[in-house]
Amino acid sequence: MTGTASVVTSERFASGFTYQEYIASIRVNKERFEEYYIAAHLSSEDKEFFCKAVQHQDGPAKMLVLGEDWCPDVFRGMPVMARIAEASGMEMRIFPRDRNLDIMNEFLKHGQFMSIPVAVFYTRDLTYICHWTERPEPADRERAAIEDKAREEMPGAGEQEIRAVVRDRTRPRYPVWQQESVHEMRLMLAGRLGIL
Amino acid sequence: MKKRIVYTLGSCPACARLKSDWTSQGVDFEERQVDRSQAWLDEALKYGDTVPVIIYEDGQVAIGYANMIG
Repeated sequence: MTGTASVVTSERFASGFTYQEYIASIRVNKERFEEYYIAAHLSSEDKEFFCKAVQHQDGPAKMLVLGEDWCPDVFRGMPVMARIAEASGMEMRIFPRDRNLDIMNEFLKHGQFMSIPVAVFYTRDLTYICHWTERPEPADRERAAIEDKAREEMPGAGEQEIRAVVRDRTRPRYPVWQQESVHEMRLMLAGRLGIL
Repeated sequence: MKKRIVYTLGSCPACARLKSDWTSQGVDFEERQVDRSQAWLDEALKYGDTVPVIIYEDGQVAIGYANMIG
């Protein structure tokens, strides 16, 4: 986020897809979005926290999400965001990244990467609170460790074989990474709002 | 003779540059735009996480084009 005026006006926010509209619009990975929507789980404590956050006077009444249907981080992460919105009454609006680069440019990872998904939390009057990007921190570490181990176990294997093994070993971790995503978004909002 | 295949995304600048260059050079290739087909997306992911993915006529695989990806 820069200090300049955001392109996300009330009208623009309202023009985004609801989750149901987005799922109806996508051309690939629909089954995976559904699979990870079912897998996404919020504990009763998480639900209580997000409800409390939304009810806070400066709380996240709105969530803007940037994504693309072909991206694994998105079909894993966006259903988590939908669960959070549904459980708390947050108004969620989704914008395909590549048709909304002006919004994406406000939330570049490390100021340069168009990483997705992005969940941007706003107050009821669209004052920016904070945003969360791409995947939880443990996912990066775990994926790297899984790849290192696969390379160690498969000396001389081709890139495709390594990729297949890494994919097979990372997919079962996706529900755990979804939980980590909830945890990170919760901590981020707790810090901004001063609530537990 | 096998045809050269390239997996692309509709929004990818490197893919657009590749297609423009190859078309002007008269290269015979088949484009598989992964955001239009689940089967092509799944195929592309076997090779890499980024586009363009190029499968040359001899089976060699390359990711990216002209030092560009995505």
